[in-house]
Formats: sequence, structure tokens, C-alpha cells
Amino acid sequence: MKSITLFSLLAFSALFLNSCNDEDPIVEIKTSGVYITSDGNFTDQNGDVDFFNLETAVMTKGYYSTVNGRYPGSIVNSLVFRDSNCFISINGKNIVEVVNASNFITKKQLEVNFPYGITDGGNKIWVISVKDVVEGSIPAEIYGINPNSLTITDTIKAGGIPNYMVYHNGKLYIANGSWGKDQSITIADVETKQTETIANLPDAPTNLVIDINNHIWVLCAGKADYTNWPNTTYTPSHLIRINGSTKQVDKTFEIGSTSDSFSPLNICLSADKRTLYYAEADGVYKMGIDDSSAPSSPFIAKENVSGLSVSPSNGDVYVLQNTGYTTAGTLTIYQSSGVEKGSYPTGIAPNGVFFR
Amino acid sequence: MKTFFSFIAGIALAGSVPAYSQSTQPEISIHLSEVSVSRQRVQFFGDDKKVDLPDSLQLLNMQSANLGQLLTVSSPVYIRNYGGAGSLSSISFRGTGSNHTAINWNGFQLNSTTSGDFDLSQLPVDAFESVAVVYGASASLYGSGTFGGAIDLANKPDWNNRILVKIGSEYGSFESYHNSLKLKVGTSKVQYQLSLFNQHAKNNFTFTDKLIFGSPKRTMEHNRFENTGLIQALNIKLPKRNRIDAGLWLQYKEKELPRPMGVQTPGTENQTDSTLKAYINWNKLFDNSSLLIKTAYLGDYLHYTDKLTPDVNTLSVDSRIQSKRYLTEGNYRYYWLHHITFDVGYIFTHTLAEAKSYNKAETENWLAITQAVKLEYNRLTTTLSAREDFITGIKTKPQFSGGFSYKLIPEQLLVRGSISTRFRKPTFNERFWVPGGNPDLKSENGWGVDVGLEHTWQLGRQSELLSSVSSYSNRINDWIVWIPTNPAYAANYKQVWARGIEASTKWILQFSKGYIKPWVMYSYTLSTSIQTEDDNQNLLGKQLRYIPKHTGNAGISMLTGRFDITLNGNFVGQTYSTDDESGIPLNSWFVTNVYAGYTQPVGKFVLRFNVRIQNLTDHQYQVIQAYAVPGRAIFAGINLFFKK
Repeated sequence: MKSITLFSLLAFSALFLNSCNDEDPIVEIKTSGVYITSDGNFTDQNGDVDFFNLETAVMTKGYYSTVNGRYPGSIVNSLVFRDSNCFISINGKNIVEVVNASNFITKKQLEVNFPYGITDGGNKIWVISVKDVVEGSIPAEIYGINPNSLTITDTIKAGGIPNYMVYHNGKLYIANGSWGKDQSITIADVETKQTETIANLPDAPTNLVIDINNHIWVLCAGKADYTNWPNTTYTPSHLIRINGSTKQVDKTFEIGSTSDSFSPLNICLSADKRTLYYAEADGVYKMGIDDSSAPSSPFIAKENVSGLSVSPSNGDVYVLQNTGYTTAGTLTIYQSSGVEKGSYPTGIAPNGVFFR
Repeated sequence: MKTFFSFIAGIALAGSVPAYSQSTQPEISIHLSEVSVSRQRVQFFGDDKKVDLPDSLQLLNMQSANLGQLLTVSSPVYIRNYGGAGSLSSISFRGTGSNHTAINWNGFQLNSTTSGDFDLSQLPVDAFESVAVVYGASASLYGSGTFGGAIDLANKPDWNNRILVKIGSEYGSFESYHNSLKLKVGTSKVQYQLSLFNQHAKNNFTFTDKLIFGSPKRTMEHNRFENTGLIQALNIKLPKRNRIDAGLWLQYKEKELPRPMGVQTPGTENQTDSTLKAYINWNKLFDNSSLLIKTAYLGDYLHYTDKLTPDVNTLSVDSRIQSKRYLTEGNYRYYWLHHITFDVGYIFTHTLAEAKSYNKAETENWLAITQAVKLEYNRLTTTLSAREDFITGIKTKPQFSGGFSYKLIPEQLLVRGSISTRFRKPTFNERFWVPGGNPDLKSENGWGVDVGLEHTWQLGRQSELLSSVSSYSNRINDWIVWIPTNPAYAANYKQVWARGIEASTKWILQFSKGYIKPWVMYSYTLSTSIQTEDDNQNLLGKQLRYIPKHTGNAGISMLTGRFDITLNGNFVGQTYSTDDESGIPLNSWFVTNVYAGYTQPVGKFVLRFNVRIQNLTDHQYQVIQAYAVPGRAIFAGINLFFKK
């Protein structure tokens, strides 16, 4: 009797364990690596988040959609990790989605109007909420999300149509000039909510970074004048430095070509914050923060660069390329010397690279 | 009244035999028949093309539906619909794009000059007497934009009619209703017809939103649809074999544009489409020839608006696009020796288009010179046609077409084949939109081959089996794509090869009080990019987005006495929302529909009651990624006929 009972128990246990194994999720638990966000096609709502495993150099394209069985939406433009959560800005669905950081399964969705540029700042997660995506006539707002309660608890006013912002030493630095509708940046204290505007910058301040000396480097994309189309004219693109102490523009570099239609949107810094990387029509440019002039030729020659980042660990340069709104994009990884290491497919119209 | 009742029943019965027969008896005699003259050039010289006609019972059952819905259940063409009545419905014909099928009304092309496509949801079925699906229509006959084919809509006079009045009303799911009035009155010399229609739907159907966490059930909002219009036609036979045909079409459509799935913020986009189309034709019959002069005005106006939030009055986007086309066409046809017909003609179109996103009002002048010859001898019919186009700012090449049909076994087996060149000139948006329009765009161009067999098997005096199989191959070069630079711009980007097979079979068994007709249709389509300007390897050999490889349609109709019922199922295979077959595919789907009707004479009138159930099993599926379509929908209607 005892042996039969024991045998039954063992058999049942084996059955149960086997069942558990059959039901175990197949998806690998991700804890570190590179996450790539993509716009997708706006009407198809098929943006996504891909995951690149740094150890195996394997790209899991459509990581979010594979795990959750659906696309997150369109214009998935940024994400940030905090504790056990990942916060994803999904502009096409007017939400910030919170997923489990270890398996990317959805936990919660927060309604945010036209969200962009999510970042971790102090004790909040901050996200841009654009109010007038066409003309920027209504100032955007920056919402603070409590990372524990997962609710919006703070609001800060910004400028016209910001897409990118940076958190540094208790302040948010917001570039307001997407689509050429604003010529300012906003600096906001996350505790006091006080804001300071630096205006009258070159056309379309779109993105910015803070260097090792706390100076603000702003990428001004330039603006198009279609009055005499097809003979369209463009104001030049600029890279400017705003002195972190005086808040005055003390360096101005004209970059790119005034005859091209390319609007540079991507800028980043090396891990030591002494080298700038920015994308122009013909590729990725590299420039030291103390250089007296902008480089005349690209460090990496490539067209249609839609996203750019530098690995904080080894200095590899990650370059995204948009090949169309109905086809997969491309991630190409280069050594810090500029030698290509590998190329991988991404979601449609990739736009951001995030390291964890 | 028995006669009139027979007329209504006869609509269904007669419609079981194709009236647009490929094996048309030669209509040429020394004194030309009215029938041959009334055939448009595209039809007269298009006998080498496969043509499908929804039968009259299908037209009767679907009279309150739109053309897109009719074609979905009556042909293997693929209709892409954004969900609900009045939502944008575009056609994908033989693996081509939505601007690669010419939609024609009484010989005039309706496709938008600004976008190139046509919204089939605007067209109520009961406004037309004839709907013909023309596979592989050639550019030499139809002009621009026929890589897939053509849809010919016609209002035809019935010279035997004295008076016909039809009043119809249908009410159904999602707060939809459709009211119509049809009047036909005339003599053997003059015929006038008027078709009035009004449609409304709230489209508040329930769906499972799979793009929201938890896949909740939701009710569609901001999806209202209104459509009102009238179509008139006047046909007059004058002395000395002259004839005047005139038509007028007025229509106004309003549509709230819903959000895609996953987006929970209220919708704010709206669009109105209005149109005024008018034509007048003069036709003169001689002993051995005919002369046709046509003039037309085709005006379209689109107004799209958006707001930042539903509760504000200020518009964030206020886009108005207007186009006006003035057209004149002349055509001389000469019939020689009973067997050979020559045709020569011209088409001149002056187009004016205005849009906020154009820097200025744009105009275009377009002259086409056409020639065609048809030989009919014994069982063989061959056609050759050519066309040269001269278009402001666009270089074009001459277009040619050659084809044949041959009765291998008269009344039983027909073989046909054709080869033709085709082109699609760039639209005004592709050329002039600011930013991104490219005035230097080349026309899309290519050629196609089409072969087919049609077999009729008489199984007895009351039964026949009609089968057909076709194979085609189309090359489309310089396919125009919007390149995703910043800003995007239009460019001739890729070469596409579309090819496939279509097969259908239909069995008609007639009995004393009616008939039974089961049918099945299937098409296999491969439409792949074979070359791109930037040699994008990811695209090569991949099926184009939203083009299924497999589509099919099957059903059975039965008419007995006063009662008729049709059960029909529609199958569409898997598709992708990408051009490189990446990402999550849209699952294949199968939807069944039921149509039933009962006809009852009442004094001098005939009443017809009908019910249609669409998506009988309430299947949830997507045609376009992220756009929900309605589940089960039930519609009930009544029509009152009077005929003398």
C-alpha cells in the first residue's frame, strides 16, 4: 500500500512538474542589454521595443510584442527603467505604459497626452506631454510619475513642442523646438517646479545633452521655408553650447548643409561626457567638447540615421536607420574607432537606443 | 400583376446567367444595332478580358450595401475596409495597390486626381444597373491606373420600360438605416431615371480591443456616417439615328474618423466628401459607322479637420482639397465587312486641383489619342488597341494591347488571352504636396499577360455548370513610394511582380419555381518586390503588405416561388502590415453572411421583404492592423415596387 501511495505521489509529482515545465514562459528573462524603441507605421500602431543581448549579441526583434502578444502602439519613443519597472512612452496611444522590468509584461497604463522623452529624475519619472502637436501654441507640460504608486503627481510647464529632455543635478533640461515651432529651451527645477527659459536660439532646438563641465549642448535642426517650393530653402542646422553658469550661448557651430532637407534630431555623449556624437544627413559626426570647430566629414558615413547612442560601458556607437514605414529598420553597432561590429533588424522606423 | 411579380422574380432568375457575356454574338449588321453602339469602347474592345458580373439576386440582396461590400461577397477581389459602414474601403485587385484599379461610371473614370484611389464605401449598390469587374484592363482602353483592373458602373436605359418606381427602406444594427427611391419613366424614345439615397450609421459596434492591456470589450465611438445623393440619367433617341445621353450625380458624405484600437482618447477627426459629376453624350449612327462625342464635368471636394481635444472649437488641422476635371471625348467607329471594326478617338481632360498643402492651384492638361481594331471571324475574336498620352509635365510612352477569345467548342469552351502595357501617372499629391511632392516623378509603368478558360457544361435542360480559370502576370516598374526622410518625399522606388491564378465554378439548377445555385471562387496571389532603388534586400521576394496570398468565396443561393435565401462565406488568408513580412501577421479570417427575401404581390404593387445578416458567427478579425471591424450585424428592409 505504501509503495503504491508513494508511486502515485511520485507519478503525480512528475506529471505536475512536467505540466509546470510546459506552462513555463518560453521568453528569456532579460535583465541587462540594449532596448530599441521604434515608431512603427502610425496608422498601423505597430511600433515596438526590441532587445539586444550584449552577452550573446542576439537581437530579439519585437521583444515587447512577443511577450505581450500585441504591439505597444505607434511612436514608441523612449523608455526608462526604475527598480522593478520599465516606463515606456507610447505617443501614438497617448499613454505611458509600465511593464515588469524582468519580463516586459504590462502592468499598468497611464494616460498622457502625446508623450515624449521619458526620463528618470530624482524621485520621479518625468515625461513630456505635448498639448499642441501641430503649432505648439499651447505650452507642453512635463508630468512627474511617482514610481511607487504609478500615478502622476507633478506638473511642470515647458515650451512649444519638446521631444527630448535630460535630467541633470536636480533639473530637467527640455528642448522645445521640434518642427521649428519654438526657439527656446526650458530648465526646470524638479523640486520647486520653477522654470527658466533660454530663448532666441537658432531655429528648432530639438535635442540636448549636458557635458562633463555642466555646459548644455543644444542641437538646433533648422527650419524649412516651402514658400517657393520645389525651390525650398532651409535655415542652417546648428550645434550650440550654452554656458552652464551664465546661461548664455558661448559657442555656435553651423553643421550640415544648408541645401539639404535633413533635420538633425540625435545627439549623445560618450561615457566620460567629453565627446559629442550627432547625426546629420550623411552620417554620424564626432566632436570633442573643447574642439574649436565642427568636423567637416562624418565619423560614420550613413544616411537616414534615426537614432544614436553610445554604450556607457565600452564606448561602442549604436546607430539606427529608418528604411521606411512599412519595413524593418536597422541597428548597426560600431566600435569607438568606427569599425562596424554587426548589423541587426529592428522594428519599423527605430528611434531610440537605451542601455540597461 | 402576375407579370410584374414575374418581373421581380425574373430579376433574380435572369441574373443567374451572365449578361456581359464574353462570347457575345457579333452585333454587327449592315444597319448597326442600338446595342452595339451603346457598348462603350472599353467594353466593345475588351472581349479578351475576364469580366465578372454580380448576378441580379446579389444586387437585390445587397442593394442597401455599398460597392465594397458587394464586391467582397461576389468576387475574389480583396476589399480593405477600416471598419463599419462608410469607412474607407479600397480595392486590391490582383496584388496591386488601391490606386491601381480604375473605377468608371458610364465610361468616365472616378478615381481621385489628387490621391489616385477611390473610396468604394461611397457608392450604394442600388444606384447602378450594372456593376462589372474587369480583370487586367489595359491602359490602351482605360487609360491610367489599371494594373489590377477596372470596375465599370453603368446606368442603362430600358427602352421597354414605361414606369418603374421602387421605394426602399432598411434598418439595422449599430443604428444604421438606408432609404432609397428609384424612379424610371419613359417611352421607346425617351427614358429618364432617378436614384435618390440616404444612408446613416452610428457604427457603435462592440469589439475586443486587443491592443489594450487586458483586451477589454469596447464600444466603437466617433464613427458616425451620413451619405446622401442622387444620380440621374436621361436617354433620348432622336430622329435620324441620333441619341443623347446625359447624367448627373450629386453626393455628400460625412464621416467621423475613429481612433485605431489601443487608443482610448476620444476621436477628433472628421471628413466630408462631396461630388458633382455631369455628362452629356451625343451619338450618331450611320450605316457602317458611329460617332460618339462626350463631354463631362467631374468635381470632387474633400474637407478633413482635426482638433486637439474634442471639447475645443478651434481646428488644429483644416485641410481642403478640391479638384475639377473638364473632359471631352470623341470616338469614331467603323464597321467593315461584318467582321472588322475600327475605332479612333481622343480624350482631352483639363484638371484643376487646389489644396492647402499645394503652394498654388495646380493644373494639368491631358490629351490621349486612341485607336483600336477588332476582328470577329467564326469563333475567333481578336482585338488590338493603342493609345498615346500627352500630359503636362509628365513623359509618357505609347500603350498597346492585344488579345483574343476563341470558342474552342461553341457554347461550351472558350479560351482567351491578352497582353497589354499599363501605366499610372503620378497623382497631384505625389507631384505637388508640400513638403515631399516630387514634380519630376515618372509614371509607374509595366505590362501584363492574362490567359483563361471558360467552360459551360450543360447538364440537362435545366442545369448547367459554369467554370473558369485564369492566370496572370503583371510587372509594375517605378512604383511610387513615400521615402521616410525628414520630411518624406515621393519617389519612384521599386519594381513589383504580381501574378496568380483565379478559379471559379458555379452550378445552376433551375426548376419550375426557381433555382439553386452553389458556387465557389478562389484566387492565389503573389505580389512581391523584385527590385528597389536602394537594393533593400529585406524587401526582395516578400509579399506586399495587406495583400493576402489566398482569398476565396463560396456560397449557395436558392430561389423558390416567392422566397429566396443565400448563404455565403468569405475567406481571406494571412497578411502582414509590413512590406518585408516582418512583425505580427494579421490572422486569416472566414466570415459567413446570410441573405433572405420574400416577395409578395399586393394589388398593383409588389412588396419585397429582406433580411441580411453579416458576419453570422460574430467573428472578430482585422483587415487593417489596429482597426476593428463590426461583428454580427442584422439588417431588415422592405421595398415597394410598381411597374407598368
